Amino acid sequence: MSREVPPHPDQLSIKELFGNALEACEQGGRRQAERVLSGAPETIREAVRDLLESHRRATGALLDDAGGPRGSQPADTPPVDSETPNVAGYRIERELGRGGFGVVYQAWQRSPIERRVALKVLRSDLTSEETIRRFRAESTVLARMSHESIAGVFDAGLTEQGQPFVAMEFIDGLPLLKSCDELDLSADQRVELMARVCDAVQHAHQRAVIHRDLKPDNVLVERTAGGFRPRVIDFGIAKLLDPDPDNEHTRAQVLLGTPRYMSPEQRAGGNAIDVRVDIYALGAILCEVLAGDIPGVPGERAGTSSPDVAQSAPVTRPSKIATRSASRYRTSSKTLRGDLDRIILKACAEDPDLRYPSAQAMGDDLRRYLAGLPVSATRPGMPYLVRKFCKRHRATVAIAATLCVALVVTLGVAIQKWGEASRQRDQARSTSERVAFIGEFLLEMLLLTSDHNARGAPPAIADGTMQKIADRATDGLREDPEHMLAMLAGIGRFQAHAGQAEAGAATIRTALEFAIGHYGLPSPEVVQLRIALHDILWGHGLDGWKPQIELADAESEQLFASDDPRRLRVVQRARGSAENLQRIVDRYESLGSIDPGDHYHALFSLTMVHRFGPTPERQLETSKRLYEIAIGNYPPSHTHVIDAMAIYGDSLIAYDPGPLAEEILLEGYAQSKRVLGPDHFTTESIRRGLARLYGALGEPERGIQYALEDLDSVARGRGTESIQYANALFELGRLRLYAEEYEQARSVMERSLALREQQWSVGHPQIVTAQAYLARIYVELGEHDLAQAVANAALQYLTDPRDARTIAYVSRVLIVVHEQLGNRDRADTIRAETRARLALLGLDDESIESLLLSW
Amino acid sequence: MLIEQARSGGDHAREQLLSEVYRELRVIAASHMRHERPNHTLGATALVNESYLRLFGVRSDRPGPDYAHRHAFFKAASVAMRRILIDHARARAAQRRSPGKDRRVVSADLEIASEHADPHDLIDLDEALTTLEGEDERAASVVHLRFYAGRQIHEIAQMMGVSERTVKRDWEFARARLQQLLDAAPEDAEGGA
Repeated sequence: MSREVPPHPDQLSIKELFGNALEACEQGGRRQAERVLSGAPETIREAVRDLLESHRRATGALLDDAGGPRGSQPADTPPVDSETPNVAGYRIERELGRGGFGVVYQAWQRSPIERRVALKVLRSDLTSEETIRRFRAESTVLARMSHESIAGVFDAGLTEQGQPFVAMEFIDGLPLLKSCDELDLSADQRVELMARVCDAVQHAHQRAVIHRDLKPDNVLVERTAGGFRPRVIDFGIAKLLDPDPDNEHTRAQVLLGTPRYMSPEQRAGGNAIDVRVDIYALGAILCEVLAGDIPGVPGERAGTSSPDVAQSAPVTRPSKIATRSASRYRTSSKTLRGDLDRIILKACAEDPDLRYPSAQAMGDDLRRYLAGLPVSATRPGMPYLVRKFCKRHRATVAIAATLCVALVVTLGVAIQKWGEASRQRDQARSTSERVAFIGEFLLEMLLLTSDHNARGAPPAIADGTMQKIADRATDGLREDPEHMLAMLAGIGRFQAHAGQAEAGAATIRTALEFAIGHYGLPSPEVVQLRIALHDILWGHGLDGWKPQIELADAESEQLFASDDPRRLRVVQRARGSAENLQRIVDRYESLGSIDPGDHYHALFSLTMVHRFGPTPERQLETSKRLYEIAIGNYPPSHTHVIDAMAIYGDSLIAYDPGPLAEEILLEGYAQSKRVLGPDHFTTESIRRGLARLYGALGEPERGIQYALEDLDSVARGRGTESIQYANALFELGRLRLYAEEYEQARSVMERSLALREQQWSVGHPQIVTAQAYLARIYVELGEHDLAQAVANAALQYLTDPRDARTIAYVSRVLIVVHEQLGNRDRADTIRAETRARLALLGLDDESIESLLLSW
Repeated sequence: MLIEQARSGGDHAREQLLSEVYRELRVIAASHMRHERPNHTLGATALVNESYLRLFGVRSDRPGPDYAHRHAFFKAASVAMRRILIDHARARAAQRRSPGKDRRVVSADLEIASEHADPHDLIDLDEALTTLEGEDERAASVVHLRFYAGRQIHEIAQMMGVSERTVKRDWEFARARLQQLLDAAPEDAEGGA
């Protein structure tokens, strides 16, 4: 684009003069500026005037900066209130309100983004160095929160006058109490709204941000196309703008006028404030929203040791408050009695330990209430649960009874999960799908049970117990085939999960044989069971999976249309070519609502096919999608998520090593260690990945830590003769090489190679790779003979184009050896031979040169 | 290490640092986007600060790498951010020309800058800044650090080793000159498209 204003030839002196004139303008106005210009030649004066004029126009528009000279503001700017702060990048539009801490303005942000914001500015008399320091640290944390129900913090900094400010999303909505009233929300809608507020608070808590000042006025309700949405404002602002959080005096003075929603410990001004102060406030708000007033302030009740909620909570039950509240928007006392009473009282328990442990737990309870399920805010006896359960599921009490016998401890969980599963089951179209849902339910529940019992350890239910349930279900097959088949499928899968794969396969085989007799062939039920059996056999390395999937393939072909998801489930297992899998994945992507488990498995298989196929680079894209599907559909502790992180992380190491890979692997490692245990093979593989990643990122010392941990764990779990141990040694050896610890590298790599040679036959890629690195280590140690011997051994077996890198690597070892020995000719010969060899594999000159130049 | 090399010269190292920071910024933006509603916008300053945190493990307001390192980083970050913003603005401008397309397609991984601001403004500004770079490199640097990397005047002064007054004067001059260039630019370059 051509510019019509060329720079003036005297650009430098013009700039100088312009600066002087602007400063003069700032101090003495336009006339002072003219005086500065008076000595200059007319052309220059004109140019400077032109710039001054442009500068005037830029003010308030271009890259505007309120810190710019005041004198240059256009005449029509209204005089600024002496109190109104100047904030770089913002234009203050009007005052929205004042609080103890300072003033809130409506403002227009001009750079780097134009938008309306709410600007909170701390009172200048409260500003100290300490406040500013802490404020800076705190504001970055806030800016990292993002949740649809949290008003975002965009920016924070200091005004030109040096007061801290925070710029927040401007929300167009009414405060909670007013909204409930004006939108005339029902009790359920109010509860739903609060459940979403709990989600928002949970999001913040996970980022270590405590609100500290939750109250109905800090929850705005926004109207959306589909209804309404709560937006929590002022997250963390209380702490941010508190000039001295450790000083009781200022806290009382600055924070807020009323302790209405404050927990007892916060009111008492102790320093031990944690997320549970927000839980208390959520309970108080819920109570006010429903009953028209907050729960009664607890009296001076001496330490209650009973875990019973009702005894340690505020004395007045919300349902009672409702009867005496004068408020217009109160809910009937009858609605509150029971579950809602318990939820509120639990949230507002005086002892923080008796409150909900997290906002999520409270939100879950509110949703359970809405779904008519038993809430956790109580430790009800059998009569309560049985009454609740029987009311909902008369038809299925029999199954629950079976479960209860086996799993007395978690009756409540069982029944609650049953409720969820059966709702899905009711929506399912066919018997076979219903059966699958029940199986899912059972599996999930059993896993949950074992999780409860063993705190995250692998499922540990005695073999005998599972067998008893399986026998019971088998006995019941004749009377109630549909449910009992589902139970057997679930039990079988659970057994497999719990490390009893053979017993699990046997259980499913029993079910399968019965189903063939009962439903005949072909039938959808049989196909489902064959898939379940196949998955266990295949997944645990047992024989016999092939006929099952082949039969399922033939049967399902007769039963279903070619793009029926039930057909695709079989195809993705039976005909796992890249094309088929890609087609299935595409179909799943376009279907929108299918079982995420199948989507996950199809992507998983596709990733594996790419990984070991001719286009390994494509695994990056499919594993990314796998990861997205996993985190989109399963909780972070789910094995699918952990596996996906392991696989995606692994692809990233190969194709995009960097911070993302590190983030994914560290997260996956933490989860895997916690959920699957430190010695689980997934944990092992992620740990090894981290070691490799740090190697690739040039931080071998960090990698060595993981590699050593890995070695220990593998030695414990698999013994020091295993191939996994050889692999762990290999990684360690490579990292020691990178860290230039050659002696240690040598002993480790030699042992790895020896073990690999025991396990694999000569020429196996794993052996060759170990030889390649060992050769390099020998070179570094000056062991020329050994280096040559190992390198030559490796070279014999390197013939595939995919080996190009290794060929170059090993050849380079030989070249260096001969150069070090002074055999220049021999080195050149090898170089030429290698070039020819690589060219034969189809590499172009450029890549050959680059391969030959670097290790 | 990269920063070290970038400082001690070598166009290659500088280019590498730039691409590192560029990638970092996009990764951060994309990771924010994954969890956010589609119309959410992300502050350029916040992005730069976060990428600083990731690359150095300390917050940009904490003592960490020395000033020379910080300067190298923020310089690279401002250039990277400028690229991202301009790519984004171009994509948006292109999208406006073909209204049939889904708005989110072109910027699926990034949604910085303003949805309200006219992308052509950003494009024009970018061009004006390029002109300014040719005329007065230091003033253009100040704009970079201030506008694209969100640095404060005093920080810029420290980084560039000049007085705050100089930075302020550069800044005001740059604004005036950019305004002049923008005023002179053809009203609507896209008119004929």
